[in-house]
Amino acid sequence: MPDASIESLRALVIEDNALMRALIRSVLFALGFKNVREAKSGEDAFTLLCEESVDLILTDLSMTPVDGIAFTHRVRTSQESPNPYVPIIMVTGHTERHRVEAARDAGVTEFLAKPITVQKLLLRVLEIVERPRAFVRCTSYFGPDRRRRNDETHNGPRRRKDDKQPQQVFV
Amino acid sequence: MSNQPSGKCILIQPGAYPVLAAAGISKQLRDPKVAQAAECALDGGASAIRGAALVYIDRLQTHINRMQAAVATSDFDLIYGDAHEVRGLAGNAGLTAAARIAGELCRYLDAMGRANATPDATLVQLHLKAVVRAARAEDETTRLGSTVAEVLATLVNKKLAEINAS
Repeated sequence: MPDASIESLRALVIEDNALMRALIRSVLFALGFKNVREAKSGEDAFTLLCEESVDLILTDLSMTPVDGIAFTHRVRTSQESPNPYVPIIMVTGHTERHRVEAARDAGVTEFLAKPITVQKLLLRVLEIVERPRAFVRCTSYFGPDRRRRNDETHNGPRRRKDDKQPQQVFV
Repeated sequence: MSNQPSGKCILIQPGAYPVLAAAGISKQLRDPKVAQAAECALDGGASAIRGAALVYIDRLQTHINRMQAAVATSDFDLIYGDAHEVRGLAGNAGLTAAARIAGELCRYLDAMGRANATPDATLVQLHLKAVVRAARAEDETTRLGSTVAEVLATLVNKKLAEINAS
């Protein structure tokens, strides 16, 4: 495993509200990040992502012209995406179930409901650091495995084509 | 390898990625001093966080005025947008009750919109007034704010149950 420190990582904060961007950036700095880039929409962020390497993305949901869900989907599936595996934490006040599911199905890695707290942010980042999930590619989805747990006692249908022995690819 | 969704379900174990999995980062993040520093950044009086929070408080009234103005024209999309802003901002400005009440209003308007139903204007205005009151009284959370939020949540649940039953 390569040796690295938080200081060497590059984070990207995507948020249309300048004050909230500043808030998130301040918390990231306090956590040890030294290189935090910012964008005010998914469109600007994708352009930036194509120009610079980024190790972690925190994105809002509601933005124009490209919102956080469309941005995430583009990062995960676009041929132009420089890094479809980059961890994406969606930070939003939109906590309605259908919006959370839409974010999950777009391929976000973690979901953080506002208000932002250090504990919540640390938990999400640690989840990414310590328990990185495999990525799934299937007919309708490409992104982090949406199954958080491997329930050995599950007696329901196994709906994945290759559920018993999925093909594994190491990249 | 293409990252387009494919017909066959495969699992991909990122090897070189994420860089975040590099040794040492986890240890750094788990250092209690790091969390403490971040908490200080979030709560501290002299930090940039505090300045940002004060701006949030100043902006709350603007959001609420816009929401109240929107009631007159029954522009529930605008009310939802502003309530969503308040919900996101107020929590980090220490206005927990205002954030909760705005969140309930968002939940109600979102559900009504998805059901293609017209929101109850009285219920919306009750929420707006409660948000204003909670935002103006910083001790509202410990005094009445939590109770008001709970009562309004009960009302929202009742209204949504009516919609679901119809």
